[in-house]
Amino acid sequence: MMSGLRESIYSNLLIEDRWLMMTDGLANTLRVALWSVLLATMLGAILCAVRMYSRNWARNCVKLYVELMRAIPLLVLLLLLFYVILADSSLSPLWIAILCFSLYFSAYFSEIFRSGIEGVNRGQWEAGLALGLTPWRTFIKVILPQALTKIIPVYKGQMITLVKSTSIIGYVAVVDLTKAGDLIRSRTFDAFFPLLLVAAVYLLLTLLLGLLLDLLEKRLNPKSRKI
Amino acid sequence: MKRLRFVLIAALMWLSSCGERKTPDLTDVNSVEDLKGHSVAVAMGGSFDLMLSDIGGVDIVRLGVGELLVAVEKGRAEFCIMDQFQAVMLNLESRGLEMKFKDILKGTAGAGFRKSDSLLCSQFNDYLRGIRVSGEYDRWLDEWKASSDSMAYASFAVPVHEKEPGKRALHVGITVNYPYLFLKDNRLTGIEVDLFNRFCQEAGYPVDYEIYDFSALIPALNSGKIDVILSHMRRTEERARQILFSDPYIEGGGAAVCRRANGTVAVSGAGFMERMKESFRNNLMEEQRWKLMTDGLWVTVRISVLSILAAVIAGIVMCRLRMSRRRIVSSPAGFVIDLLRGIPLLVILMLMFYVVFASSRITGTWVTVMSFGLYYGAYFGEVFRTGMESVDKGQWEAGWALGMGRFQVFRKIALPQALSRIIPVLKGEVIALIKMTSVVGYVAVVDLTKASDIIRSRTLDAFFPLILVSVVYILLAWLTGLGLKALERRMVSKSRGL
Repeated sequence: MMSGLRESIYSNLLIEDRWLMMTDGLANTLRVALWSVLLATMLGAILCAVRMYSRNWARNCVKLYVELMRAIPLLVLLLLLFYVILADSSLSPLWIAILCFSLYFSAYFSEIFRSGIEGVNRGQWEAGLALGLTPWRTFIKVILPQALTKIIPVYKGQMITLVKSTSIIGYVAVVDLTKAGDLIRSRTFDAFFPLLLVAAVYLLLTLLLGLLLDLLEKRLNPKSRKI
Repeated sequence: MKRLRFVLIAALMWLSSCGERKTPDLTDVNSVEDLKGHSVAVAMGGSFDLMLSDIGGVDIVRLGVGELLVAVEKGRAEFCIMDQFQAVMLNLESRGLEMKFKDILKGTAGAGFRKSDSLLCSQFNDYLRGIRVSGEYDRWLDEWKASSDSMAYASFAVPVHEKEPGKRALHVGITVNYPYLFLKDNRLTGIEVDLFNRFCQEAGYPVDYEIYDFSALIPALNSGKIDVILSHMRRTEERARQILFSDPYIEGGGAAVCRRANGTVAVSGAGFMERMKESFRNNLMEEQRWKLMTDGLWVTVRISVLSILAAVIAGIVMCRLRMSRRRIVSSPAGFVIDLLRGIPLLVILMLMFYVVFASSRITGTWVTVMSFGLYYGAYFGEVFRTGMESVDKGQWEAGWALGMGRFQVFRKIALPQALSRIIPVLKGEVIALIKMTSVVGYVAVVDLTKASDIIRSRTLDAFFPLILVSVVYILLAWLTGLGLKALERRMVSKSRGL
């Protein structure tokens, strides 16, 4: 058992510096995940704002966009962007993947934000305005902190989903963690070890992310804050 | 705070160091060595992939076999290396492409067998020797070489053999790749399939073909998923250490294909509607390709329905265990749920297929259903749990005070209230599950997405199949949403109608 493991580690990771493939893959996974979270959050916030506080036609457009994104599989969207919509652009596959994830998850994020903000009692708005705060200050000081406590737990789950979903970007020739495992497998023909390793790394990633977001959740919770 | 900002800036700089593409200058590329510094699309795990990795300095774009030409056409790679016979058979000129040089890694290809299966291998070798002597081999190859796109292959393709008692069915792993193995009129045909069918007919084996990614073939063979690799696999030292190669039955090499130097694609004067009509005919009507799509849709629907059922059952079990008052039950359940939610579904799927159920002859469909059942069971279980926990404790106590039993309170009071909270959340998860089935192509299941991949690899049309598939998925999601909304309405009114 132990010698088999040592043999596996040697042939899958050490020989020909194959571990470099794994670390490069991990770097790409992280790149796509971090950029996508960043962009999707921003875009999601904008979509949410439009959906909640703008004219009818813009609201309907956003609604349609969200419905569309929630109905189409991520993989199909990725392939569509890669081979059809952005086929003639000079964007690298990595950026196309980031764009795809941002577009897709912004729809989910915007809905999470919306339900969080709508979950705050209307009276809170009125109270803020009655205290003489501007609408913007009311939003920032009164509504948002309360909404965040509702948003963060759901947001966390969606973020972890995003990180895990990046495992499909191998389809458009980006060598991510999963694809790196595949690549090693295609050379060593060992089905077991690379897969297990990849699974462990993902697990570690999502656990770390979960912990980080738990911390954030605690810090953002107004109840735990000293006034 | 200052340090945080520094870290953020450093992270952003690292993130933005993602590569950019260069403008191509391909005039003086005439050998494999010249490919250095260019982007080259190859089939992942194939011999050209290994060759380019060994050369180094080449920007390798690893894709599925069927996507190579499209990648070059769309400028995703400057070159692609593909089988030269295939490059001749496909009409490169009309797509604005040209063959730059060929005879890369010239060699012979054969079928692959498991090391322990030398009997089958020698049987196949005997057959090959036999037809070489009788001249049937030459006739077979000439016929194929002479055939053009329009020819009716079916006239000389031998049908799959009927199952005979006492003989085991051979599971053959293939990669769809014109003209060796492809689907025509929704039936698998091609040079290699034809040869192997002839062999099986003579030897009396029933055959079962399964479609894999090229890089997955050898692991699938060695883990016992398939008995034979039939994918014009070239014999290399590294591969020969893993599997048993038959005598070669086909010769070939690779050809480097790029966009024509001065050529732009000859855009026909036809309007948008005309082109759409042409695409429609080419991708769906010709060779009854629509049947592949409807079969794929059926597989997607079947897998979705079975997976949802499995996930609901698994979810109920996990919810029950997780909510158990005994720590010894609830904490392992919580651990398993976290584990399942922490690993990508694709990785779970491959783990189940290649590791857990490696040596069992269970089909990809059932492995998929089990993986999806487990994975989404963890999600469903948590949804059920939050639903159950949201029911006020007082409701239970009220039930008991009325003299109801535990089960009765659950059934009559807690469940209806919980369901009205569970179903809206569950709706999203169910639709997510349906969409997620698009990855099952990885484990040799031909679903809707894979069906479109196969069509794409044959028609080399990137646009139409993908759009069609998206529309079908959108429709599926929409219909599911409607169905669940109806269910939701019934559930809510039921709990109200007390």
